[in-house]
Amino acid sequence: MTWLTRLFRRARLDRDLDDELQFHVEAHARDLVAQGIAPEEARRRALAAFGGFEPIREQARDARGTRWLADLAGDVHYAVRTLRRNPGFATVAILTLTLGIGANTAIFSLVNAVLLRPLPVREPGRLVLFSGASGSGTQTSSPFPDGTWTLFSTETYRFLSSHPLPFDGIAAFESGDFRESLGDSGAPGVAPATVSVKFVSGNYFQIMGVSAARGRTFDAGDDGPAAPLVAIASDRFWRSHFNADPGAVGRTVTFDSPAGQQIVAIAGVMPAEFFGERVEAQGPDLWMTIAQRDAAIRDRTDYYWLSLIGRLAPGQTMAMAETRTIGVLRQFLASQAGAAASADTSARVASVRIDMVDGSRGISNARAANGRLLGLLLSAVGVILLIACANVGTLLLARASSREREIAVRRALGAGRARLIRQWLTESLVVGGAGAIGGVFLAWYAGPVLLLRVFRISGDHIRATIDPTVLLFTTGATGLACLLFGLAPALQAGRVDPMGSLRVSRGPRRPRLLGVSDPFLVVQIALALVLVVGASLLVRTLLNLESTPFGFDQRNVLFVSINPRPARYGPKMVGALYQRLYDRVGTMPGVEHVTFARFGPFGGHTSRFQSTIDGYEPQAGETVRLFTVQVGPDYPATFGMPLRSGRAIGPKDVQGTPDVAMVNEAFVKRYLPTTDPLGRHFSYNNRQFEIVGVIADAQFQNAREPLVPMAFVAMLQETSGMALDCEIEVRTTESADAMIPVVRDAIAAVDSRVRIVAADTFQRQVRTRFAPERTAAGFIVTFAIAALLVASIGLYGVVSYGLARRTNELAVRIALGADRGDLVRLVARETLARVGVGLAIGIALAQATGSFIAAQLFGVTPRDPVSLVTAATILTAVSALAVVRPLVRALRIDPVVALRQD
Amino acid sequence: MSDRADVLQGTLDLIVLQTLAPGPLHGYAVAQRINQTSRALIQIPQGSLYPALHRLENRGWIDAEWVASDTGRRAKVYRLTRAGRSQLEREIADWRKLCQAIGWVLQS
Repeated sequence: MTWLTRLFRRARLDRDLDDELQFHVEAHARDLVAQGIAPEEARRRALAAFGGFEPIREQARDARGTRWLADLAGDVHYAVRTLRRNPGFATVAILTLTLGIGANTAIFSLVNAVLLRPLPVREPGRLVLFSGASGSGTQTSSPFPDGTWTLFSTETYRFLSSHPLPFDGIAAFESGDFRESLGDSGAPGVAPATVSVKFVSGNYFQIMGVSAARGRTFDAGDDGPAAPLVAIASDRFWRSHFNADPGAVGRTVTFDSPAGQQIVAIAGVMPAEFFGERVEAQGPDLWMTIAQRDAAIRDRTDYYWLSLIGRLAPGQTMAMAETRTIGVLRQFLASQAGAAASADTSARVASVRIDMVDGSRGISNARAANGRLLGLLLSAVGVILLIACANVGTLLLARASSREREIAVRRALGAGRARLIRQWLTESLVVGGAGAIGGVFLAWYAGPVLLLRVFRISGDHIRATIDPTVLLFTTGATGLACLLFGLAPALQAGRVDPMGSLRVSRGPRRPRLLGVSDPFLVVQIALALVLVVGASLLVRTLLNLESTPFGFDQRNVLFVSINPRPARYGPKMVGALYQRLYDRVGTMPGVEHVTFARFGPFGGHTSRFQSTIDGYEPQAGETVRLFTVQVGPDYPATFGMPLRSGRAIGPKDVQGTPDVAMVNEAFVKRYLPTTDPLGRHFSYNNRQFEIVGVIADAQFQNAREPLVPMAFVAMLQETSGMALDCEIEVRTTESADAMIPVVRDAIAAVDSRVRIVAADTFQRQVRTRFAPERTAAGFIVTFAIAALLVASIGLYGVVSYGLARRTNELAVRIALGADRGDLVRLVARETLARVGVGLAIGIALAQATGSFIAAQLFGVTPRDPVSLVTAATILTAVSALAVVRPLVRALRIDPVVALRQD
Repeated sequence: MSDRADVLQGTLDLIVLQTLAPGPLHGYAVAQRINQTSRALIQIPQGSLYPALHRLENRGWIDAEWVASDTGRRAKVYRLTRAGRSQLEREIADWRKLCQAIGWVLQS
């Protein structure tokens, strides 16, 4: 009879035993019959002689050694029954745990997925991003940018990567997004399908540290002048476009590009978990080498479009790499300037720097903006957990003290101490287990919802998978809390003197309302307050940012960005295209104003040119670098930027007429404060512009940064090496959203080969700029709500429990003539005293920790009194609500009934 | 349990093993045999006997088998295993040593 048999065949073993014992009795009876006794009598005597069956059965079961399992099952069963009899307590406790464990796990898994998880590459710890690769899009800069370089030109990249530096190698990737039309898809008249292509250097995959799942990755030979036209496909593209064909390597994709139809061969497919270097984005469909990029972009020396990532050589440090790289870059720039470099240029060179940033986790918008918040987020996670544990603790303790009679009775009936303790622990574990299961479900379903709704982060590789470590930790922590808090009353149970408890109905002690759970409650309220204050601060920051007057009217403006090069426009002809588009869209119904520009506000683009301004003498070491935008007619009107003086750029400002420009007020204030700017000149790139108008200041980049002097030049007067991308911007009379397809169709009607790169309302674009702040606010608000819920549930549970225990006392008071109002005041005073202490501590805590998030705030200070008062009010209101129902119930006691229950 | 059972506790195993040494028996027969061989001086209550039998079975010193009896109800028959035989010899040796030791103590 093996151990296993004993475990699983209990029923059968019980039957066997019975058979055996019955046999014994019958055998004895037979013997007696053989001695001449009547069968009836014989059986009776045999039975009597045998003694009891039950002790033998029990002993046998004990001997089997599986008794503990059956006992445990029994304990659990009993615990469940007890909990069902106290649904209030059970619900509250389990709900608290569910919230605590679930919210924590979901949020922490989220934080992990977005902020912490390293890239799925070899030795991610050695990856280094140059200035965090935080530049996006492109930067046109002549001669070269000053300050911290986030973007690099092809020329500077090639130089750096070929120069000996403490890196295994440096790779480059296009910082912006690029879409290519597929030539072999789409019927005529229907926009062709596009794929996203990321242009990278030939050593990109080696430096990142990934190999292809099929075929090969790039090598140096793919990134040279005679390179074959190949691409590496992402797993997603391989599945969607090639239907996961195992023979996809070698198959081709046709691009419809400016240079004509291009046939690109697939040289390899990347594994599913690789998505490039940017965490939240969709990940490119295809990778191609820089050699395949438009020569017009690739070979321009004033075009800064590449982000760099390096892999540190073994044993090298980031600091060392930074110093050496900066040195090399400066050398290169100095040598470009030549021996006759001016003092300005030298100063410029000296200001150039690169910040080496850890690249192990890739690039993430959310992380970039919230890096410092990370510590705060994790603390908030811990705080919620603490609150949940404290909650369960108070509930268990509160309940324990009311069960003294039950314990006394059970002791009197013979229950051993160990048995009771085990019973209590089982109860606590049942509660903990139910809470953990609830928590897992909550985390499972809450995770994806949180990701998509609150934080608007998406990306196929950001799955809100529940992080098993986090789950284990939170479950373990709360389990431990349950055990500890369940143990205390259990140990106390052993000490209870049965007779003493049974004799007196309620002890002579007067139990305080909240009793031993006071400190927990206070702590909960304090922590909840801190979180609510934090949430309020961040929400207000977000609101402030979004509602800052930017200087233009965001409503009812849409933009459509186009790329004219697929339609074979060269730099000379493209002006005519813009004119036609302007004319065509301008006559459409529902359009109030139309213009076109190189880019609009908050598009993420910058363009600076080194300039000289007539009548302005730059100070020593200062270079005037004008933020310049090329615009079309009616630009200020379209964006709702008031014209302060002079005129706006109009349809007559075309090639062949003198170059004109508008400037903003900041420009005037800075460079021409004392003279009338109209009629003055400034120049860059060997062109001279006359200032014809001054428009009001508007924020183009970032709500937090100060307004910069800006110049607006005529797009139609632009002399560039290629036909430039441009945005058609439209102010509509009614909903901008509804007009987007109409404008797109109009553009297609003018020339269907023009590629539409993007189309959106201006308002949405502005809002996207605030995604990091929204993310942060979203995080903290979720925490705060969770904390509020948990704390209020805890308060409710404790108060109702305390009141239930004091039923007798209250009943006696009422019977003796106490006014119910007095009782309410009594309870209210006691509760509010505790809450008050909690609030006070919380406010102190909030002040102390406020400095941690000061950098994230905008328009509010960490000690903002409004936030503090709001938070305190919310908590008081919540506490009051939590107390109402138990109080009402307690006051409805019929004193006679209550006293009789004793 | 009575006092007598307490005294016998340690030697119960020994007695049962010895009783099964000649050949297999079922529980009732074991009780009878012990009664006989001890000349009615040792009466083992069933409350001790069956647990002892099961304990010995768990330890692997005796084996059990269900056989059909002539009454129709099946009977569980125990027999000594090889390991049981070695255990029996060990326990006999221990018992003799104990008796000797107690004898010396009583003589002093």
